[in-house]
Amino acid sequence: MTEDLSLVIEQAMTGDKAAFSKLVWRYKDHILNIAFGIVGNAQDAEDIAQEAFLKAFLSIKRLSSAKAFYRWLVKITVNLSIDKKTANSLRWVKPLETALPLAISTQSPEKIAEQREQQKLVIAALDRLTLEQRTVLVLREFQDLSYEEIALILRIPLGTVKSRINAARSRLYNILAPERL
Amino acid sequence: MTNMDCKTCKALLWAYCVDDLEKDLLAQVDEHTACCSSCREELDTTTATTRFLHTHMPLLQSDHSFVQETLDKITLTEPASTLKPIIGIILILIIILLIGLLIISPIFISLLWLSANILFTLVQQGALVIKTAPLLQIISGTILTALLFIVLVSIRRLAMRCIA
Repeated sequence: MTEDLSLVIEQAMTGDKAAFSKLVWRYKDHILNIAFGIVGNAQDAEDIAQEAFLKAFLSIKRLSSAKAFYRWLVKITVNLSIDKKTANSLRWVKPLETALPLAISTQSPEKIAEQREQQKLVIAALDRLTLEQRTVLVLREFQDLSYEEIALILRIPLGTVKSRINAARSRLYNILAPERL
Repeated sequence: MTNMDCKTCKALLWAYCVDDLEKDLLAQVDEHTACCSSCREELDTTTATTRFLHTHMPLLQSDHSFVQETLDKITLTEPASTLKPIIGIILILIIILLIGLLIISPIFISLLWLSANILFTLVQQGALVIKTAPLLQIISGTILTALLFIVLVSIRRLAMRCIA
């Protein structure tokens, strides 16, 4: 973590909204994609990300140190995403066409359609993982967090993180490899 | 052939593809796949699968409106400045003092006397009516309750006006 960033976080910890807005700019896409990876719906992910930032702002004064900020923010996001995903699965919410992010308009319609199909395949494969497996996989595979960081965020033993990631990878391989071929 | 068996090697292939293996294990997988055609084939499939996953996992990018909306929400729910505990205690003491003053004031006592008289009269009349007939009991009971309610509301309003 750079000194500048630590300073911004410390300013935000005093309730400085301008400093906090800098943090929103910096982490918005990370947070959005963590939420999206877990819930698999763009609109829900946006709502979760906004709520995560809101929660973070309201309780940032309780944060012990600036170094822990990102991990803490990810933890809030993961908890909100898990809650949302659980609520959606209880209500049998089905994924919509609009649940995926919009494709770049410069591509041809055929290419966009093909890309959408492949994206749906990936999301469908992730949906077949358990919520625990999906959460650790998203944090490791797409956010590049270390095993130790994931263990701290989810408050689970390091061995559990590793076994969940291995199980998730193995399951994804079994789902994606035959589908793709 | 290396010490690593095919089962172990296959279990490590995904981690190998995403560069998630320690150096010694990486070297062992390299060594094993160099001389095992089955594992090499599996490695090719795993490489393609991980590439497919990483290429086609949708990546969201938020714009300025996302940040603006987030900051708007923050502004809306920003906690109001809370009173210091000492100020709170002083306020409570003042309120208790005011209530005490009101209770001992002549207006309050006269109001209390008035309302008690009205209630007493109404209850007496109601008891007379209740003795007559069962149907009348219900009707009179309802009317009496309504009257009591109206009287109490009026007393409350009167008291509020006096306080104001």
